[in-house]
Amino acid sequence: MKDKLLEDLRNIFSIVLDQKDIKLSLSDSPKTIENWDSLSHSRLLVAIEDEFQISFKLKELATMKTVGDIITVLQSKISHSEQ
Amino acid sequence: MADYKIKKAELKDVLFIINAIVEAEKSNLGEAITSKLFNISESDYKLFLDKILCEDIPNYDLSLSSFIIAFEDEKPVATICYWCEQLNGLSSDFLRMNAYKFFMKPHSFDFFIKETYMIAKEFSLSREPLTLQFDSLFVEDSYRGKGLTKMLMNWAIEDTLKNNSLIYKAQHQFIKQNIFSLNGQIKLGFEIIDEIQSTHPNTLKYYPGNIKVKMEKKL
Repeated sequence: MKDKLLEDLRNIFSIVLDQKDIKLSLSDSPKTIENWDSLSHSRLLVAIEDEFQISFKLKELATMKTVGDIITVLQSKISHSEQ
Repeated sequence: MADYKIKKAELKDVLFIINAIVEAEKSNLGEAITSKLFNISESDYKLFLDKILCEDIPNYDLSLSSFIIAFEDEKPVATICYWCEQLNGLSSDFLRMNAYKFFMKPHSFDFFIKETYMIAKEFSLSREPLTLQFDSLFVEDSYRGKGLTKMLMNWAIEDTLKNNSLIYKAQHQFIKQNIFSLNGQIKLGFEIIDEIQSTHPNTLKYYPGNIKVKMEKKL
């Protein structure tokens, strides 16, 4: 599931950050990805919410420091919605 | 000298903190910056602040737990906000944008993104990771010149050093045209280490000045 989510996120990052061949790893963060600033971060969150039909809570947003953190929150929300 | 007590802000202090943030943003020079950047009234901005402060996400300038207050008896008379930048990894810029996205009305957030974000971005100075950051300094008019800023900052510095051995400098950013703040910070041992002058034609529509300074003090 983690690999699938990483690939889904790669597609979203690619579109929002306008980087066709972007490579994404769990440890990537705004420090390692070009153009991942506060504005593009908010656009990424909107795109992720739309793609997965979820809504993040503010406290969840504050934990998202890396791609891996985003996947952790996503996994939790997806598994909750499936229960 | 009057006896002042300094305490961490609590939920009962939210109204005072909201008014302090708005007054600090006015910098003695105009309207609150954020209400202009989002094209909202001051009362709508205060509603936003009420919601976000109560969420209390730590380590940035819109967190209730980042504020300390000086009280005379039970009356709040001055406050300052302080936090350790990126202590938990996420920058205060990102935390603030999360707050805007979450609690600003969609049309206000859209206005910001389309009309004023680039002005704000071009007029920003970076916040260095693992530094003590000060913001939203506010002292009631009749309590100015009584040493409250020094008292608040010293309390914050002591509290920070007690809990974070990695922090060794404090920084404070504000509009340079606010001479009251500038002179006050110099007296407290801060030095200007960076400044930016905006050349955007609309900067003065949104900000009470077009020069921002970053001041620093070694701890």
